[in-house]
Amino acid sequence: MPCPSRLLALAHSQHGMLVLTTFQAFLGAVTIALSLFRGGESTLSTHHHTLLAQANHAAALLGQYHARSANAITTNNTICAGLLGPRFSVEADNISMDESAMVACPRNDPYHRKVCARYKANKPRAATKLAWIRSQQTTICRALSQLSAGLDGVMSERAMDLARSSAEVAIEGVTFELENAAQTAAPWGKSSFEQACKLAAEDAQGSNMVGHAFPLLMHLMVPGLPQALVERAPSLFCALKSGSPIRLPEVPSVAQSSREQCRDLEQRTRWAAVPASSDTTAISGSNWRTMADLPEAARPFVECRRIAELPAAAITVEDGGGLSYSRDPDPGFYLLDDDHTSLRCNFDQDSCFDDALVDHSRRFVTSLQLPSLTGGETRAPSVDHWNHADEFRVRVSAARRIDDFTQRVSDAIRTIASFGSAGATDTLRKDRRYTACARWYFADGPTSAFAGVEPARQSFVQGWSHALTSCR
Amino acid sequence: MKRASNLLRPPVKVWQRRGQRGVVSIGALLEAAALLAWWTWVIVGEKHVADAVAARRSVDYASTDAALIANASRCGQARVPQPDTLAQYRASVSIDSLTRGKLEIGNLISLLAGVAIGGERTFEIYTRPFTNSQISAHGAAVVAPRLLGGDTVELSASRLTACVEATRDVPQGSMADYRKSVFSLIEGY
Repeated sequence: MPCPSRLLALAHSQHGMLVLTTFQAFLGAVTIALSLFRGGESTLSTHHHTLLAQANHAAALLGQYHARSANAITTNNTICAGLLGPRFSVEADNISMDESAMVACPRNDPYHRKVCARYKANKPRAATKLAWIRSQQTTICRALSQLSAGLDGVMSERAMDLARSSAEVAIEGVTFELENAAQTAAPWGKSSFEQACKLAAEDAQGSNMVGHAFPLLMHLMVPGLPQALVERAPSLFCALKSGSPIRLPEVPSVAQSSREQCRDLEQRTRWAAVPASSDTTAISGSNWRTMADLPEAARPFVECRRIAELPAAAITVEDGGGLSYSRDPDPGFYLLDDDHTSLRCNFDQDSCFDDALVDHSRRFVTSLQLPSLTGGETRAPSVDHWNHADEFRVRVSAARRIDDFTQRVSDAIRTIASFGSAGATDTLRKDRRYTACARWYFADGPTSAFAGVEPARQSFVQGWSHALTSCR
Repeated sequence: MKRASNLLRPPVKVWQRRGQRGVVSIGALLEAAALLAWWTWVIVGEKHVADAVAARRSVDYASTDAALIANASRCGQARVPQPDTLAQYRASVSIDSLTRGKLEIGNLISLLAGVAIGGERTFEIYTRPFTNSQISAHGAAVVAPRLLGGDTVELSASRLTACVEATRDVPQGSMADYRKSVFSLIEGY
């Protein structure tokens, strides 16, 4: 530390006064530079806050509009599924009425005459209802589906326009950059129609609709048929490939034709083979038949066992080599296999009926000429795990240059601090960009009211929300 | 002799007394005064800049924080955390609700009205306007010292945010509501 007397001496010298004055002037300049720096820094801070706020606002708006869009799409889906249920019911009731009429009208007893008369009285109204619900369901579901297809993109553009206009009012010269998959892809591009059909069928089954469209009539009809048809509605009316063929044993015409087909086939099989009477069957060498002698359609339903494997007590060897099998009420028929082993065979009516049912059910469904439901599909997110997918996120960047005055102040500070050696810099003249991100998601968090809603149903529940989130 | 010689000496001029205790030149006095004034102005200005920066940050932080909190809390409430260092410039925050725009789905409403749909609790998604909030933060006035003119500057900041929407749906969905509406038109004879 310098001695005070030397400082005093320096102050009293002419040279010292000059040094002191210069030093004080330098300190003053530095102080002014510091103030300017702090003012500039404050301006930059405000610039940062303001621009980031605009980016946050734009991201929040986009999140809000996308979440509203998602909730509207789920409501579109719900309304469409809500229309499917009544359609299933009226379709099922009409089919049941027609089936009942097919059974009742050819008969002449009082009960069936009553059923037939009521059918004739109500069928026009039933057909009108069917036409109305078909028309409404098709028209509305198609309109809703079209709305869902374009809604996300439209909402995205509208939100961005709103954010831009708000930003222009707040600060001039803000530019936005947007990374939004909704503008290039279709986040709601997957069909959820299968789920809609299932939900509608479940809902209809638990409702008072099925079999009650015509209360005075339906109790006279084939019991349980409307309910059975609605239960099979997804594959029956929605033509969905469930993996298993449709079987409609509840439909009398289908069951009857299937049964008749199998009875006929069994008869032809028995004629072709050596019949076994319930008492005694004698087979001579020329009577033997093989599987190849049976009708081709019947072969899958013929079940045979070697006679040698049958219980010994059940078989009696007759004079001349004949066999007697007398314990079975349906002794079936005899065949020879490729090894010339004797077989006792039966025609499996149940398997035949089950097989014929598929064919007759398919023909029945075709004969209904149900109008196509295509074009009115409900929608689901295109990607799995949508709550974590980039397709359900948006990134907004807001950019603007620092104002000219602050740039000049900054240049002046640089010049002062560098004793005049540093010139202007472009650092502040570049756009300052601030980014904010938002996502929209189904709010199935542990504390949410929608916790536990399975993913397949999430496109039918209005539980979508949005939030600002960190940018990855 | 010595005394006489002292009397005969010409009067000493001020400029000739430099370096001697207690006597300064006018120039030195003016310079000192100017420097003192300069330093005073600089220090006062620095204090004013510091106050203004603190106040500016106070309203910026308050409005930004309030906007983020409002966004996350459905715009129903926004408590503003106040940084300790800026406590002397506590900002007051007000939240105004803005409702603007809706889905504008055109003819769909009348199409749905044809099947008795329109009164269900989740239907309002089509008709409900968007709710946004405008958050305004007002800082305490920053008063410049008299030396700098004594002006008062009122600082404020404004933010906009989009509110998280409350849904009226239930976890199992609202299909039954719509089904009932439609079926009411074709039920029975």
